[in-house]
Amino acid sequence: MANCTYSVPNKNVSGDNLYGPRMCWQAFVDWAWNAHGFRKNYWDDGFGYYDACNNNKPLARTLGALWLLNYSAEDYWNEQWNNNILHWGRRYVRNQIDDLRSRCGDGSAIAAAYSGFFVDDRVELYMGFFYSKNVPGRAETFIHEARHMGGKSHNANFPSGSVFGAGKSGADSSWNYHGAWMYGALYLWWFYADGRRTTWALRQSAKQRANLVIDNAFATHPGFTIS
Amino acid sequence: MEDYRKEQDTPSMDDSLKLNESHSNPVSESPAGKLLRNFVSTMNAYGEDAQETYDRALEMMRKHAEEVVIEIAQAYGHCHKNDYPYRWALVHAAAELRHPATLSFLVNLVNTPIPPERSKDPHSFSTVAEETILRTTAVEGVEYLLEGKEIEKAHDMLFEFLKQPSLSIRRAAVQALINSESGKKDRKRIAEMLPKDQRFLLEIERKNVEDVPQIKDPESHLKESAKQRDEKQPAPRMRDESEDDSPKAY
Repeated sequence: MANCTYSVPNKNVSGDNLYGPRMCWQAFVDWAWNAHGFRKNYWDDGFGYYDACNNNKPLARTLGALWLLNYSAEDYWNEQWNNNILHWGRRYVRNQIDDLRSRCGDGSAIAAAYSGFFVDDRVELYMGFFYSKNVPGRAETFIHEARHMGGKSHNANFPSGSVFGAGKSGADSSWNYHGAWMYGALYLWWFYADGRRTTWALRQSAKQRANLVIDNAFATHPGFTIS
Repeated sequence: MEDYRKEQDTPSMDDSLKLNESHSNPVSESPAGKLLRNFVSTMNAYGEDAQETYDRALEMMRKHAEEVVIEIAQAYGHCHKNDYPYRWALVHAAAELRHPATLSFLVNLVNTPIPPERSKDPHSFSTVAEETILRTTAVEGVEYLLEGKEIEKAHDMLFEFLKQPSLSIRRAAVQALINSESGKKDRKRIAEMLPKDQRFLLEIERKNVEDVPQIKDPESHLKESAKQRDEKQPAPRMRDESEDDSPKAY
């Protein structure tokens, strides 16, 4: 058992004051809790189990990101696979992530996906997920980790000049590899271009983050950037 | 949630979290500071009149852009270094001012060396990535000034940014330059300033999302056990936001 402490950054700029009141809705909380396999013993002891609408705490901040993931397409109920990722991203995450846990972490990763033989399939979320990323950034993390849950690992080293560490492993070889980086960038791009029930500022921040991924996370640059 | 309390009432053996004080507001209470505070608080406001409120706050800031940019610079200096969302909000505010007075702040930010990586796992969370996002947002802010009175200075600064070692800063500057009025004639000069192995940046195109390769068959990317879960209920239809349906246990 680890003990951790954290300060809460401004909730207007992170989007938590926008999405917090929206997720504080019994039907949605009930659905999310079951759909994503939350369990009390991973979300109590200060993580928000007894205070689900308090957007200072990890549970509400996680549910806010799930709200964004589920309702940011204008016609969000059209989640057919032949639509774009803004529509089916929620369905993909819902199917891939059915055991979501909060942990303190060791201050390095913000999230991790575990899957495979003799492994308890799960996604763990750490302090950086709750307090360093804004709400769209957290939704992108769900998309990224869900792709890993599908068994798709990174397959290349980061390119020269990459912010993630040139030459280190963890990159995807190309956009067409359809790896976790491509999933995350494409989701943010659609959110920027066509996200609804959100704000200009959060869409702009999604654009900047998506461009960063496009520039730095592929061994071969995809050759385009966001207009 | 009330129902879930029945689920497992054994004492938890997992991690525990305590919250410290929240970050203090780095923006001063001066008249210009109040305009900036107002803008930041409306940036992600909700409700039917949210866009109008945001537009009004931006308009008020623009009327006092020279004073507000001083507040932005001071607040940026007072921000907690890890508070990337707030720091980004300030850079976004400066960019949205679209005023020549912001040039110095934006240029200083882009030219400030990116501190070394502080994360032990940059693939998951990278401080260099967060610092870079601040700077590419600032480059876009300078690009906006190509439409105003300080075209020449902004143009010159974008060329200066090509000297930055960051690939993303260079990419943003190249995009700004080649999409400017003098873009075609500047290509040769840009190429000469870029390292040889980064001249591909000149060929990168700005695209709309519908024009890039999509994921054609995402269902095939589900793990086997997840395919069986595809019958799971989707999230409920959205409620009317005026309804009060907060969880009853709280």
